[in-house]
Amino acid sequence: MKTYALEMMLATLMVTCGLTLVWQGDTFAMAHYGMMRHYIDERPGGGFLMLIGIVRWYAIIRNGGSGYRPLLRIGGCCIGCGFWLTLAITVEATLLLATKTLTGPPLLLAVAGTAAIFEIYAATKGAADANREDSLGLRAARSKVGRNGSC
Amino acid sequence: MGAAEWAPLLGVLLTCIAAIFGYRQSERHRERELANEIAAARRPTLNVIGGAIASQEGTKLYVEEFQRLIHAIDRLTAAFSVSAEAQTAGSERWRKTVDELERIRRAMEDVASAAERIRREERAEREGH
Repeated sequence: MKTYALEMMLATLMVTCGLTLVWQGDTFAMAHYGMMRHYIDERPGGGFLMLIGIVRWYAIIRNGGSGYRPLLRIGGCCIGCGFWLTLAITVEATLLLATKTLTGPPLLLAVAGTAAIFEIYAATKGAADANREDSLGLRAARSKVGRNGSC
Repeated sequence: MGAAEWAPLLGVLLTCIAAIFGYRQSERHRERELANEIAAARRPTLNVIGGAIASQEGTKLYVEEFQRLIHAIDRLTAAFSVSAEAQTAGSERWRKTVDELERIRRAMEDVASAAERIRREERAEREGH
């Protein structure tokens, strides 16, 4: 599977979620965001999400030819996965605390959970690109030939 | 620790594990591709050299140089197949693999120099006659 389109979709989701939080109004006013409200403010959190999404756009569009962009992609996947997992779990936990019974999973759990899984998958492909471009410099450090420039 | 604390940490941890897995898979895949390329290049190269040697049949010196080249290519193929293990075993084996590759490269350069010397001698003989 070509993951660039997948990563672009996930990055765009982060940007649109960030935009939604930054937009006028109180998104976290809804009851099932009760737990999220304790840990994240809407405007700074939304701005942070948008920034990460835009950095991911840049890393994906300008991929190739430079070592550090796969590392940016992997970092974006880490933050994205953490965000989606937080969204999925805290919403479910809030509902459980409020109702004391599992009345049925919310759709957000399915969407955010799936996004978290695909972030993990995208990270493996980002790491494969990092290996191909030697982003960590491990191959150059190990290779005596590379250091001496004799080949 | 609440759900909103461990959920992002869990997400980052799972993603890091997946990234390490993807990195190592890519490394093993690259080594296999290199070994396959060398093995694929070996056959046509040996056929070309074999054809050149056959036209010089009876010249013992050519046969010896040809054998040295075959041994060098075999060792190069083996070194690449070992390097995937070497990277997981540690940097010491990787350094030994790189040293081996350098020795093989110098051996191949010696073979090329010897072949050039032989061609010059033959040309000199032809011009002498």
